Amino acid sequence: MIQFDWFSRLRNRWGKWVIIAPAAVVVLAVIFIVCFNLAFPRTRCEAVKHLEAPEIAGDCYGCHVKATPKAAQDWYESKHGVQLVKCFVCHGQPDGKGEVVFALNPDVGICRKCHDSSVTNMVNNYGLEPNCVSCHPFHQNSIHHRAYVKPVAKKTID
Amino acid sequence: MAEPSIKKLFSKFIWLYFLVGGIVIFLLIPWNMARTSKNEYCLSCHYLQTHQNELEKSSHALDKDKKPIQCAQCHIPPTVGPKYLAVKSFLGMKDLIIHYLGDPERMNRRNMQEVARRFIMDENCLACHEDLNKDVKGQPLSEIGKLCHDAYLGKNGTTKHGCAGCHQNLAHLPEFDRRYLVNAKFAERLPLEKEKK
Repeated sequence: MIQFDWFSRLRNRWGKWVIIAPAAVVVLAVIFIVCFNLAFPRTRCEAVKHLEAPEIAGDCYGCHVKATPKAAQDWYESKHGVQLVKCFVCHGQPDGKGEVVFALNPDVGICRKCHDSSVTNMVNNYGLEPNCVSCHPFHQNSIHHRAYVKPVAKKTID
Repeated sequence: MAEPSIKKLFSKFIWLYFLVGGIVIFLLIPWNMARTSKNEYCLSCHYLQTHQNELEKSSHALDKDKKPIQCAQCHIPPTVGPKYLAVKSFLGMKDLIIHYLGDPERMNRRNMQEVARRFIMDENCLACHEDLNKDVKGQPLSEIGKLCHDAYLGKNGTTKHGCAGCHQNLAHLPEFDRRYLVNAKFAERLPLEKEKK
């Protein structure tokens, strides 16, 4: 047991502190990371409860072009915008009425309503998990804008 | 006979050296924190000059006292406390790792935006923008603007948005955000990027 020679020497000198001290450091680090993530949440762009504005309730775009202008413009310029696939088709309605659940990030089931054959093809032909947004990312203007954002090539040809 | 006694002395008082070193480092922390929060330190890395150039053309070039806005005024918490220490150490470690191990010449500004917005404190914004019912010129907000701020204050609906969650591209404007209509005024003031071939 030559490998553990240094360990047993430390053990002889410091006793139980050899185990307690590193364990304390690990525990403190975990506490720090947990508190840090609680204090600075990663996802801050989430409406916990949508506000109530009965006069303008039917017009999502009218308010969101002011409130979230970038997402609104992405949708307006996208294929979904040109075809007038309106907000509620994917995102549902804030009052919870209708079949579609009100959500910031719609489920794959919502995509399947129109693109079922495409999703099935991707699963059958390429063995991909049915998760559209990992390749067609929202908020990087793909579903709302371009159909597929090409990854930036790492090597450039000069 | 002198050598072993020196060695013995050293090994006997080794804890003292660690203690003195630790105290010196501990006493230097406030000085170092203040030093690394200044604009000169941020701009000592030349690739951050882009961000400074954008800031100078933005609506946030000057604060309410007509002084140039410093990096620290937005990017780290205003008062020293647990939050300040946590943010300062996290951002500092991140910067050091990217500076020495990453490729700072080709930064992914989309990812940077996420990290930066996570640590922009609302207190920093509220230090200048005190009244949320009025805009910068003292005029009352539009109807939609009021509704949005009501949601932020929890009066009508609630949201996890901080200030920077909605008010984006106020001080920095990467190229991929220049096509947005909201950023048109800001984009006009910035020089056009030469076309890369």
